[in-house]
Amino acid sequence: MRNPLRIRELHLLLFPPALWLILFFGLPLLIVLFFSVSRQDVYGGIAPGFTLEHYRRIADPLYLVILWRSLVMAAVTTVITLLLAYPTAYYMAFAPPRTKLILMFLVILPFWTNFLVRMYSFMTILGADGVINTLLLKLGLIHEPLSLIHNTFAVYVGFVYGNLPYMILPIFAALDRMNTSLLEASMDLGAGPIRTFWRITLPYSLPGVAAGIVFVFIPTLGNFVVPEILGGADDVIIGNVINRQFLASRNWPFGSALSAVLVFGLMVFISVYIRRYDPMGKKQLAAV
Amino acid sequence: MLELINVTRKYGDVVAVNDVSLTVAKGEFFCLLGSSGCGKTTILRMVAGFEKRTSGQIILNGRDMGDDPPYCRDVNTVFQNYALFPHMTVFENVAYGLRIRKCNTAEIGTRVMEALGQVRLSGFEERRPDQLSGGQQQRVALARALVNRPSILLLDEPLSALDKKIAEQTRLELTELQRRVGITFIYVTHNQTEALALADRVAVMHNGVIEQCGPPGEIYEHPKTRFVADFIGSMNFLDGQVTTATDRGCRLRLAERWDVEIDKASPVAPGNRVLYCLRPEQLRLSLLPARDFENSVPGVLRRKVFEGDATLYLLELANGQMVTVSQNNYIARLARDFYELNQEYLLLWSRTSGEIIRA
Repeated sequence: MRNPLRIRELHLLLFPPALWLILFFGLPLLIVLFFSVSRQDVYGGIAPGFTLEHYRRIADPLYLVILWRSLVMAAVTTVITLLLAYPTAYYMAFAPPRTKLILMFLVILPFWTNFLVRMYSFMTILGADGVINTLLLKLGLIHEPLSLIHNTFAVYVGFVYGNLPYMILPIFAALDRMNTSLLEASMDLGAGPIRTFWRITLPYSLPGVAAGIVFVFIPTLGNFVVPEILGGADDVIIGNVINRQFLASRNWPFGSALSAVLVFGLMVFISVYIRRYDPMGKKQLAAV
Repeated sequence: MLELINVTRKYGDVVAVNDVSLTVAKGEFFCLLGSSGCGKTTILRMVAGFEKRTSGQIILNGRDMGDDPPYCRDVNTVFQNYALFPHMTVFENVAYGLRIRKCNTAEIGTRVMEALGQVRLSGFEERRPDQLSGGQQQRVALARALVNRPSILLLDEPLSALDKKIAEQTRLELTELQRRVGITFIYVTHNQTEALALADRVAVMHNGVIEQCGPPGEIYEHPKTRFVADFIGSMNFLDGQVTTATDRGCRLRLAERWDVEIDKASPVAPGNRVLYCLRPEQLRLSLLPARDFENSVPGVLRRKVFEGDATLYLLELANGQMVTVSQNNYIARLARDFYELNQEYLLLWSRTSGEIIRA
């Protein structure tokens, strides 16, 4: 143990965040659980009494299809984000220190603006009289505006855009702490750049990739803002359904049941995933 | 087998390696010695292919390696920080080069086990690098390079990260290993003890050039430049002028007041200004002149530094220069030699001792 503090003292450091999590995460989760097995009263509130009818309702094909579509969308978003983020992170990690700093700044820059604002700004880019369509029309490449917004395509654009930093940063962190002498060693032992990438660089960065996947897949699955703003009538995912139950439909118990299923499903996914892929990089850290 | 001809490496205006030529014979243990920034690592990295030369030729087995990338060269490197692949077991680390070359599984198994045996790591195949001590990691790095049976093994300060004791032990093993496998070693170090102990030949580098190249004994006994004389071991430098010179030896006048005789042919002529180099262990302190030590100069003992096996005596000469004398404590005790501070002694040495370097 390198840390001179004793374990008992280290535990104290966990106290404030633990308290925070219990108050604002654990407790609300219990409330959601409680709501999800309660009856709905006529005005959309919670009525006393135990029931599992809300969970039974989730098994309705209508919701299962939406759940499945949400999973597919989150998965596709994650894959596209990964494919865009990896080369970027790779370039950043091996760039000269100054370039690295500038790129890092650019990756973080979007966080300075509200997420909603950035999503709305896509309207001015993708809309019928948006930047892209105007440009293409003026150039004479098209004669009618392309429908770039209020469809699944636009939702993917929003999702990928919004998630890129969360994928780039962990992969960058993993690649950045890689010693270049590992690459030299691989080349020295006869491997060209491509084999060096597949055998050394990629395996080494996998903890970062795994973390990035978690950071992107999970929030996307629960997101309801992007489909709402950029999607069409069909682009409803599970986050929108939950959102509607609480606001428009005023069916809190059913919304709670959906949330509970989502949260516990993700918990199972993450606990399996962490054990399998070690996204926290325990093995990597131990090797440093 | 390896030949560098007029190799130069520049980084912008900075000349890291300046017109270096050298030849390394097959099976030789060759050492590049110098302080950091002298260009020794750049030479190693140019041979490995990690650095491009600005001009000159690097010829391995009769063929100029030109700008061949590292993966096309028949050399392997042991890196200073070992550069073991953290996500692979010891076995996979050592097998890496063979797998890249698509050797068959059976051959890989035999050769990896053989290489691990050579570095005394049998039984560690399934460990990961982070489960090994520094010395063990160093030996895995060695096995990973040796298993490919390269023409030349390049070692970049391989012992510098180890504890002194382990480094000393590994040093002995390294010479034995090199004799056994018969592979040419080129070894880069800033540690002169390592270089002198390990190498068949040492090249002392300074400011991008090789100052002197030769067997360790020759480098130590007969330094050719002031830098080498100063860098290797410790050395006293006395300014002198040649008074007479014959083909058997010469007479010098030191510090314009002491005449000494030197029994060594040197390419000097009367009137030449020279540096006369004497090692501390070639000097004796005495109250009286002694027959075996023909040269003597008076001085006052100013300091004693106890070093365990020996004691250093710092003597101030009449011209103010300090001279260091090293005397073995065991022998001094047997001879009942005890010296007192601020007392005048004679500094004695044999006419066969010391080297003359043109100033």
